[in-house]
Amino acid sequence: MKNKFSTQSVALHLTHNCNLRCSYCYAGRKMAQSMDRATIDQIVAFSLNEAERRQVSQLDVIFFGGEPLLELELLCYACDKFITQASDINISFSLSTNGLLLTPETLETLSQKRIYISVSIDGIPDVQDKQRPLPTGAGSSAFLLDVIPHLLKWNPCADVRCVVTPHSAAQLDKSVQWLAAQGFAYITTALDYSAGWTKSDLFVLKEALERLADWYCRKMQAGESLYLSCFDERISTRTKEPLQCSERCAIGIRQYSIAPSGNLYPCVQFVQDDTSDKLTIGDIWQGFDETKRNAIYNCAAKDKKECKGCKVKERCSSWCACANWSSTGKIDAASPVVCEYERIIIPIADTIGNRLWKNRSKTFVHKFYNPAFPVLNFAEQLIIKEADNVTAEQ
Amino acid sequence: MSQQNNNLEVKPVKRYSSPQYPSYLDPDPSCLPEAYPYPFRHKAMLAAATLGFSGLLQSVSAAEPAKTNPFIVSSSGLPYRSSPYGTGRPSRISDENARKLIDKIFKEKGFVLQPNFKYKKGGIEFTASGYDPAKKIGYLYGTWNTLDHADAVLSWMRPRKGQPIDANRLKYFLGKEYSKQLAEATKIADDAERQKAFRALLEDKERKEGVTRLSLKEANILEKRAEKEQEHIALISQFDRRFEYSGSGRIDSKEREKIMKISDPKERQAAFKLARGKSAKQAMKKLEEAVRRYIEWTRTQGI
Repeated sequence: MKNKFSTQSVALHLTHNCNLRCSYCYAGRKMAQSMDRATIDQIVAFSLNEAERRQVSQLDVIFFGGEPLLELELLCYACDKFITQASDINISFSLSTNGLLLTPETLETLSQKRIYISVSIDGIPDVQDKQRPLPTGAGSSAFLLDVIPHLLKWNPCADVRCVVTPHSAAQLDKSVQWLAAQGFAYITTALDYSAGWTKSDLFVLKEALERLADWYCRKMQAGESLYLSCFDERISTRTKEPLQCSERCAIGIRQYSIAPSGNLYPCVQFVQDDTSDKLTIGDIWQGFDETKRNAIYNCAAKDKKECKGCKVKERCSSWCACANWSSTGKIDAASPVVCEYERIIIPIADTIGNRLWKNRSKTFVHKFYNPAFPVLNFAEQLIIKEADNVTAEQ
Repeated sequence: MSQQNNNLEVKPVKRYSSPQYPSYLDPDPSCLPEAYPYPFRHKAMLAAATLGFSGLLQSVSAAEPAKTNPFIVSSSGLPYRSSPYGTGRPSRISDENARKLIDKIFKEKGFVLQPNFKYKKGGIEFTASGYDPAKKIGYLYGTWNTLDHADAVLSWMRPRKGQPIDANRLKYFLGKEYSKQLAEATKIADDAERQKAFRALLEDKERKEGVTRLSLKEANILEKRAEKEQEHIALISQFDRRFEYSGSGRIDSKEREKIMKISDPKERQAAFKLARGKSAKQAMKKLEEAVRRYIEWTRTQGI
């Protein structure tokens, strides 16, 4: 009998190629090497078979790269294949893109195929230009200023992913505020854990997070809710039941990545340029190497002795094997960067929670305690955007 | 990959004060009366009130891909009857501007339209504005010159059936190319024979034009057999009321009120011109949106 609540996610790295040269990119060398239709056919059969074997009722397909929109035709082909071949399973699609190729026509196509878009923009144009330049070295922000309004028109609930490095930490608050001003309501911030963070960098980051927290509180108190991952996820670790490690990550088991060659990896950060045998856990023709797969999963899932006795262990993200690996080179070693960051962010998030609870902010209460909130908020977002579109037309 | 620690270390937190806001173990605060009413954003409530809930539902569903053909014959504004009076009539998108826009959209969508394509199939013959024979898709921008005068666009001068044909009126309708034949027919003494000759000239003109122009009858047949033939030729009519602009009814009434308050006649005229320009742009935008929706719809039909 199927477990109706279980999901699995598969990331398809359509190509190694990319039209940007981000300073912190973990995706390896930019090569003109992409999947082909035969590989896609095999991937679809493999993924659906794996999902059936695991008795999942939901398969999340994520298009990744490089830059997946460089292979838009392949992306559409894969979507159509999944839909026609899936039988008793729900399929959802999402896309992680740098946004440069999001023309109105492409947005229309993606919208028709119900592909949820997550766009990577690191914040204010200055930061974006420095951290995510074109191959020529020129900045990419000017192109995105044209893309953003079209993106939000087609996808009012599009997520924007903002990577924070030691160089951009001081401007994190300005960057998030800028993204919110552009119209984004779902903002994910992610630290570049592989960067050489120093105590002084983290101090600067802390000050920026405190300024951001103040802005966030004022927004919430004014009834304007937006999803800001750095605070929301930490508050949720208190307001929602903590997930067990196996549910949090399940690296290689509930999620896996497929390189353009068809090689299988435990997660997106491990694919790189697909040359390491050590990190692969099989391929789509011969299947998973279950020994390797389970070994990696068990290694990542076990308790870390360096975290023993920590009062915020259940709320920390040290379970993330990718973050640990990119920071330390080991998936079972807690990252000092992650630890220092969590010791900053958890108290700031709790200060926000305390302040909003003290004022009995209804937005805060429903956002973090009402299970219907995500749906209500999503619908509200669509209504507001639609009203804006109609007003603009008039 | 692995980084130098830079004096950073994993340091378990030994003491941490429990936050004051409720945890998952505490009673759910979203169930308490003071949590209600639900804090919908002011903007969302205003939108729902201003646009109306059903209007919102419609506008939200308008973001869905088009499921219906926006260019059905019944919405084309045909048959169109011309009027001897021009005052107060709306402006329409010119053949040149419309075709430029429509061709551009078809090209964007990957179709290769052959301009002025002579379509002839199953008893229907006309010149399509653009047609892609490989994909069996195209369009006709229906104007006074591309639609048949027998039933699609009717001149007020056209002699009506059953009524005696007036030679002077027929002269304007037939045009110069028939002047010699009309002159000879006018000389016929017998009334019945003369009327018969006039009718023959009229039918001759219509027959010649029928080869290049699309009649309403033909348009309806094309529409009916589109699904079976897997061939879609949109009749985009210049007389479709959705794409009319300017004229007394087309400028927004608030804007007109504002313009009428301008005392200087020249300034007032300039303001009207600007408003009509805006109105023209809006008409082009509506046409563009309709063409895009049409192509989306044809995709659902297997094109």
